[in-house]
Amino acid sequence: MLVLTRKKGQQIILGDNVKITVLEINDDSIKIGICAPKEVSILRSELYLEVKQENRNAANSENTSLDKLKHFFKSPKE
Amino acid sequence: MRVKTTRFGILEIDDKMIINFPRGIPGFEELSRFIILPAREAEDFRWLQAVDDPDVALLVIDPFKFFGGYSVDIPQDILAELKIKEPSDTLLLTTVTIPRDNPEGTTANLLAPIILNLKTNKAVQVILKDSPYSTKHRLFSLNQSSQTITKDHQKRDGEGK
Repeated sequence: MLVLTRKKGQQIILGDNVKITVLEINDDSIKIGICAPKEVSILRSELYLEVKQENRNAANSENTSLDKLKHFFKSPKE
Repeated sequence: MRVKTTRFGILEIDDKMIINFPRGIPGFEELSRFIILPAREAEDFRWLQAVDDPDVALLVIDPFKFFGGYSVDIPQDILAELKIKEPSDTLLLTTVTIPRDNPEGTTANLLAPIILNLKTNKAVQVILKDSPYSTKHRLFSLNQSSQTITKDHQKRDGEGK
């Protein structure tokens, strides 16, 4: 992992076309600007982790739980 | 081909049923091949079963059947990646989590739908940006008894399928 220090206004370039700028520095947070092509996905990592965890939860479902669920539906008529 | 599954035993499936997730899915990044199986226990629920790991099967639903107002703007780059040309090429699914011992608390992940191109059998799980939805959206409203709990879709005007 590369660790470096930037001051407000300074930038970092990743690869050919991702540019990161430090826009603002506050006491406990910083504002970052990211320029990247549309194909590059930019995500707050906690969001990815949340989805990851939810997928794991969905994979822990058992047939028995599903069986209990059907009692919650009125007979479905489309 | 034969697919070993923990929940359903060994299945003989047509290779054409295999859906390819080139990027895997969050939490199972190394798994790229899945098949969709109906859930015998409950209509409208399906299992997304991993071909290469018998233990991995995610419960999924067509969210439009359960959430009348749900709408998803599929990002352009995803449409391009999946080579989706027509809306009818697309199947959208969301994962569902049933908390053990609390089926009333079942939730769907409306924030990260799985977008599937039915023509090419390629799929991606997309994490929506700037989305009003959550990863844990309740299927059932909080204040209904078990006799009268109805799916949200009964409130909506007849959307197809």
